[in-house]
Amino acid sequence: MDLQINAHMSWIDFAVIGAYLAFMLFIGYYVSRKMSNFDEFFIAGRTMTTPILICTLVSTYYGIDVLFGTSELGFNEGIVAWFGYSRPAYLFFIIAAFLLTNRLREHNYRSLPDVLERFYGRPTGVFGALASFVYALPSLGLFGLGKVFEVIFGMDPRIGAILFGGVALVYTLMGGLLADALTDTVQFVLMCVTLAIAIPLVMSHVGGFDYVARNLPGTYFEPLGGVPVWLVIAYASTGLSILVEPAFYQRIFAARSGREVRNALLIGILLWSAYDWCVTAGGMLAQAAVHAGILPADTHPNTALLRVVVFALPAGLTGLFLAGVLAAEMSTIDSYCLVAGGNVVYDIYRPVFDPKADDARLSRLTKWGIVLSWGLGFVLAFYFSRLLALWVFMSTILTATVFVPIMAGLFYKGRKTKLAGLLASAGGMLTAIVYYILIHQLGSPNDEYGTYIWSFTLWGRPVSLWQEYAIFFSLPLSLAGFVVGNLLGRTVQAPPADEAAA
Amino acid sequence: MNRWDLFTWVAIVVLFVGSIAVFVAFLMDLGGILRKISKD
Repeated sequence: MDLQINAHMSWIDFAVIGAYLAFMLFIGYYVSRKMSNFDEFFIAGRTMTTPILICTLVSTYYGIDVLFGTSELGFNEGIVAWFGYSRPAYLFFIIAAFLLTNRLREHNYRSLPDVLERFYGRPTGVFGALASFVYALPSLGLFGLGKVFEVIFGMDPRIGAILFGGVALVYTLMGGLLADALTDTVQFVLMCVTLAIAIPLVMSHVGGFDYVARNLPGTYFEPLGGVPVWLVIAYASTGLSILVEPAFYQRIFAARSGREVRNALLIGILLWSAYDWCVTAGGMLAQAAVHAGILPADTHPNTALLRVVVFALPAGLTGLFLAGVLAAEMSTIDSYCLVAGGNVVYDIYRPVFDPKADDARLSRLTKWGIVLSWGLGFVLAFYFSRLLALWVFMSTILTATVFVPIMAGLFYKGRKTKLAGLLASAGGMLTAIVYYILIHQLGSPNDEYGTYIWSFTLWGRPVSLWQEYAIFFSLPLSLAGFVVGNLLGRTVQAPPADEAAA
Repeated sequence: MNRWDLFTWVAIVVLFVGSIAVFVAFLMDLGGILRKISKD
């Protein structure tokens, strides 16, 4: 029988959660009174400094997918969650800090597709906007919020997704990126502080890592655990998406300078690594708690961390921790809704249908775009059952479509053609989609890893293709498309900075 | 103390102290950010 979390909660816990939600709405209302143009709504008037960038970057990237996904991996496999899955991402953040930010600040871009449009023209920009839109749909976040609601209240997760996700939607509609960033800041403190308080209490209840080491298999302490090497590489390669991440780009454009972003990333890496380890440790401690009989044997790996923390915390702190869990996800949902809404209106509707749209019209339509992305995200949210698998699919589509053309645009000084951008982006996206369809048609589901695997024999040797390996095919084909397009197409003359930023 | 316990304690301190320090720095910047955003 599963642990009923609300049985461990008092009225103080529910009051803390209610106060948190009310405060988020107040911030949205307060900021909405200061907004006067599209730049202020969409990129906060380029006013962000290092501390607010740290808060919004850390909280935006780290939602329930990390809290539950990484702790799930820690619960099932051990320290590989940190060494194999989380740690490679820091390398990409360092690359972004030192190589990417200044390049992206050379022009007054407003979005990731702006960058593509400048180098390769409108069609490639639209492909980039489509990939960014798919990536930014808040399905993962809404699914996570629903799951938290179900675990806490034992009710339909869709109600929780509507309730908590609805609050994030409302304050984002009211105050745009600044409301998003200010709420992110409160959410950042909540999610970090509550986790830092919870883990020592869990360690105390379970008996620390001495108990974990005595009672869990030795593979839990191997950096690659029992996970296939190619799967670890596939997970690690999702870190490539950091270099082309639309919410990250939006924050680079919203910063006061490239230096502020670089400093924010370097401090952020320290906090991310600490957060990741606490979550990994929490997953392993939850597994030990199952072994000790503190948690029931049928505890789901996805929610094991949440359950063991709620078990360990006293009244009041439980509500604060659950507010921190909600904060982790709401800070992700608001940011990606804004990105996806901007993709629909600023990156697709404006250049294709209404190039002369003024600020008021762009702001108004972007709000409708935000609502659209929230609605689509909600529909998708309850189709996928595995958090990590969904995350890998979304980041694969983004990386396959925009990684090669953006990196080539920013760093390749040689000849670049419109056709190269188009073939690289369209080729990468289509390869990733076809690969996923093929693996789902020809392969079979694997319950242990929650994925699809197509196993066959090639030249007498067994071969297993996982759906997560899509990036290994789509990225080389995207690069091939770029090379072919460069050979066949005509050279693009990049427009001056002001024109590109218009 | 197990070395993984020690590693976890270091992460806890970094997370707790770091997040509070960043929040204090944010509060010091907040006035300036709000002043730069124009009013209707």
